[in-house]
Amino acid sequence: MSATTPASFAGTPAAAKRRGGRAAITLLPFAVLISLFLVAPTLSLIWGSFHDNKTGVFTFENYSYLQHPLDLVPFKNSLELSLASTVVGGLVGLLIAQAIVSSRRPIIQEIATTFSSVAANFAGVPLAFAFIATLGANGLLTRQLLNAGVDLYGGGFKLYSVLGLTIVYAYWEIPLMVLVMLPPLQAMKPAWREAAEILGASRWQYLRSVAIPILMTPFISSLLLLYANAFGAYATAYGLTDGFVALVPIQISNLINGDISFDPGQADALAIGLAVIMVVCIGGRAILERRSARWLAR
Amino acid sequence: MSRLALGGISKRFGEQVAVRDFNLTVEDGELVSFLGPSGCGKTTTLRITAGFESPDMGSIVLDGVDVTDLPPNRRGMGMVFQGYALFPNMTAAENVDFGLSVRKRPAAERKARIAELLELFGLAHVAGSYPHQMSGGQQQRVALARAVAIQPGVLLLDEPLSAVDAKVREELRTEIRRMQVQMGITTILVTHDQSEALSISDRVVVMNRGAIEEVGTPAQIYAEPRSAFTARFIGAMNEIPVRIVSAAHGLVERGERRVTVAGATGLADGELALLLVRPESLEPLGPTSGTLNGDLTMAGQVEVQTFLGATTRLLVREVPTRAGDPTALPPTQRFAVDIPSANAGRWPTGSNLSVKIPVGVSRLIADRSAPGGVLSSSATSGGKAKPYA
Repeated sequence: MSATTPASFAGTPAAAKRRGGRAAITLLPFAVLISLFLVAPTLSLIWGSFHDNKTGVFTFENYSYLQHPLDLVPFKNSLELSLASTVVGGLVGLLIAQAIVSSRRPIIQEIATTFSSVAANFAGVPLAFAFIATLGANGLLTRQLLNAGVDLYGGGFKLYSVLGLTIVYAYWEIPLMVLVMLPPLQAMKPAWREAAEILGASRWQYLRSVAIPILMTPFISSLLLLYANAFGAYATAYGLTDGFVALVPIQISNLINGDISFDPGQADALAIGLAVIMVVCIGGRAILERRSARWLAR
Repeated sequence: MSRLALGGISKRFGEQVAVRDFNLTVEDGELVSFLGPSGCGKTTTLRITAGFESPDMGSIVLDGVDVTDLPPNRRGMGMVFQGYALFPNMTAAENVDFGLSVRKRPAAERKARIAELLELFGLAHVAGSYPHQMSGGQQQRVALARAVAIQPGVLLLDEPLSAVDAKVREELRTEIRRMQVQMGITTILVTHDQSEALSISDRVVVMNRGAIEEVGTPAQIYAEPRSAFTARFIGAMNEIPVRIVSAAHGLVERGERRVTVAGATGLADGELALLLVRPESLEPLGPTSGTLNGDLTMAGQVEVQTFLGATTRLLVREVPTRAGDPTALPPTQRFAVDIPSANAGRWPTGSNLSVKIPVGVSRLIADRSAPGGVLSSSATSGGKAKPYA
């Protein structure tokens, strides 16, 4: 006796093809979104960066900033500011996240997570205004400290400087670090410490051989995220300094909006430079995350 | 001299008593299992032994040295954790090496020891693999190899097989026993799986509500349980109602039969009691069995046949010999009879079956669980009392 398999049988290649087709349709809105807001702008940037914006002729001239030290100042400032805010945000955030995990009290973890979620997204002009009102030349805290005999601005501090920006950036970098480091810290199994202990290890030996190597991957990955986050920030820096501190996003804005320095081609080239740094950070984070996920799988 | 002595260990967590006056000595090279239901204190006792918890009272003596106040890293014990607890950033070989490395053993000795253990546990081919690249069974073997690498004074196993599937579990428990005997390591195994405890232990400590219920060899625990809890907890057990006619003479009555049994002391005349008897001890009676003297019988209708491999379990609904018999099983409950599977065809579902209750291998307990004479017949399965209803 022979039997033929009906074409509609669930396991046939035809059925699998249909299922694949349906899945593709459900992904269509996402594909449209990505095309419109990521792929098309990126292609436009690449095209614009290699063409003269007046004549439309192919050129490398827009990338001339790479050869002139003065034109690289925005990159230098952005790199330094991002590095400083990443180090501050990364270290302080890690310590806070560890303190939250060590508390072992769900209510503290919930409050901290909620606050961090809000604070990590509180940026832009409102944050700039909040800091100006607090730590500006006539800010509330500045005045109170002055009344108490501490003259911040007399001592050389300026909120509208790279140092000031670092403090403001740390305001959202710290909670962001808390948010991204809480899961890996919570995934550290107490049994690893106990296993190390009963095998004869001291606390330091456990940290050095087990905890730090395991946490190093998510830690570096989180730093990359913080770095990318700081590097691409625009509104806060602009709101705080009115565009007077030369940072890459602000320079791009000046090249697009400025009357004297109007040069969309160079803006595109700068944006490509910024995008390369972002891709390196986000790509590196993705690779590290994959490794970390294998180690810290629950 | 015993290798390990736990003396008067007690531990509370707030109002909750976790361990109560736990006394045990473990001989050199012995494998002792702590067996009991969840929350009976077996893991807490193990963690106190390891040094992860401090006892409120009592002492832990290892090789004649009181280690009660020593931290875990100075006790010289090895431990295998429930979820393996392998270090995910290290390969199998590096995990095994960890304890040797922190002890600063010479490199050549470490290398030789790692190779020897990986070979012994059949792990040589995964020496360079990380835990996430290994199967559950391989991870468990690495955890064992890591624990024994340091040549511990005592090896502690905390539910080591709970995370692997049934087939691997069976293989691994044999392997644990083989390794333990070969190396002569004094071992404590914590488990809630009675088949695991009974199959590989020299002695079994049955625990209940933080205290030791009974200690004995697997055969003693199974065949001659001293406490009702053990009798009910280990293996499958029928609880057959009887009435005490004369406690002084050990005379009990069931249906129309009266027999003399041991263990009636302390029970009151006229009181209902339970005769505990294992399914494999009930003997099916053929039509030619004739009149029985000195034994009780039960009769009923086979409702379910469960194939268990070499044996088949019959669940039987009792048909009382006379109406209103206070010692008859309630209509919702069944008794279990294990027969060789080869004979299962003789008692198909719906057939009638009579069995002899050999009182010599039964144990009598007061029917405390059913005040007022409400009777129950239950058998345990998988370690938890479960009435056949």
